[in-house]
Amino acid sequence: MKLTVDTGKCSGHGRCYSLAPDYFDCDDEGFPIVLRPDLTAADVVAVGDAVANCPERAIAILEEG
Amino acid sequence: MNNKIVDPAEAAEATARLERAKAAGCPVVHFDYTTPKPALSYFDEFDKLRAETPVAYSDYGPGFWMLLTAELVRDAYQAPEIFSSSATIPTVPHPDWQWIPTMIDPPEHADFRRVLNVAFSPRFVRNLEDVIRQDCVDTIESFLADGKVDFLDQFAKVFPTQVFLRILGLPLEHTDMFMGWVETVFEGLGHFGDFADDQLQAQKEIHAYFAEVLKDRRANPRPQEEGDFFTILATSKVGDRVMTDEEFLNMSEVLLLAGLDTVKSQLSYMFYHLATTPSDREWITREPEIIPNAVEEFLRAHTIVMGARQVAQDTDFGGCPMKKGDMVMVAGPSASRDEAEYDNPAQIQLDRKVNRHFSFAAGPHRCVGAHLARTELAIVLEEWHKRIPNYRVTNTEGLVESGPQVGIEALHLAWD
Repeated sequence: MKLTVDTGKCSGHGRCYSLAPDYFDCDDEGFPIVLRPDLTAADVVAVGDAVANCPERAIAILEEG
Repeated sequence: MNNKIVDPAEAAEATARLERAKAAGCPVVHFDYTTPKPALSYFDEFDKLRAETPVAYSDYGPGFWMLLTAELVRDAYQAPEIFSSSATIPTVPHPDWQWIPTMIDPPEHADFRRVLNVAFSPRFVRNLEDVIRQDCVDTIESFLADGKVDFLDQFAKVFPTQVFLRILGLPLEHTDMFMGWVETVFEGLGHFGDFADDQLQAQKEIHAYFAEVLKDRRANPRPQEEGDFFTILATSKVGDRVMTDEEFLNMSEVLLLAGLDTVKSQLSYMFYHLATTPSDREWITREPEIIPNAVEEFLRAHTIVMGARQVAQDTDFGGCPMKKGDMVMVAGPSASRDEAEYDNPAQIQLDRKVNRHFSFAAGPHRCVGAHLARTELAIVLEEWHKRIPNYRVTNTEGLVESGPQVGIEALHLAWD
């Protein structure tokens, strides 16, 4: 599973790196940087709140393949 | 309130727009958000209206569409090519001012925004946290022994103004002057008549003040390593050119208007709720770790800005025929309480897990001060409850609010 941020939609609210600092960091302007794009099943649960709390609905977890 | 449209062409447009809304079956309301109503009334009104329709049309002033659901509000914010920021007050389709970057559309918007993004980044805010905290503590301790406070005049207006002046490197003695200007401008916004005249006068004075600051920073630039905000702004590049004086002054005014009254208004709802809800007050005192989440919940339940966008190209949106030039209220206070996204949305749940509120708007114009505002609000909750865990509301007069940016007008608190 792949953790992705749609940079066209993301406007830097900062909810993701506040809620899941193990998975997201932020750059100088406050936009997120995905730290761990490859997710295990446990990661998907751990990052769930950050995904659900994105006001822009810009974060997705994609099936690989 | 004077609600006349003087220009005959505008009056004709308003009539045609209203007929268009009626013909499309869009519910028509008279949403005069400038009328003072008992605290929290506007949130109730939005809840009731949203239960009836996702989009309404208000015939107040020149008239405006109202987007009420989270989905429509998010879609509108994310489509600046259709919903332009050329006008951002619902009743003012032809503003004689242009706030930068608030009223600039993409792609030009990004060049201005980048400068502010860096200046108000999470890292920048973190570096200031100790200073902000000290200002907060000092302000609380100035009235702590009194056992009572005029919460707005002695705290909620003072603290954000001090933070603002500190960040911008301006003298703290100017606190009262800034508070006066901000109040006058917000009394005028979206109103007609004398209030609007006073607003323009205050905006002129703010302009003159920052012109002096700019002159000073050009003559005596502060060393870069001190990170002086105005020196940085005065030498900032917009794309590949230096920012003009006019742009500098404009942005300075925008920061002032965006950063002070908003925090004050948010604090009024937070403390009204906590003063009247002992269980949540006790929760925050007992478990301060809940505070960051609680801040998000307060921002959601009481989203204070009834912002607007202007239709840039004809669109059929939410089943309503919107035409170029129409105003559209992007009703954050409604969308943040949408039943489609939240269980018991009208209820404050400090540990709410999912929260995508629109307090900071969304899309490219997402509030640049969001990181700072969150930090200020969290620090207030922490430092206040360490010193004053129990308090009550003592006033009955003035527990009223009006838009387009709602806030409780008077809040007096007392403790033993």
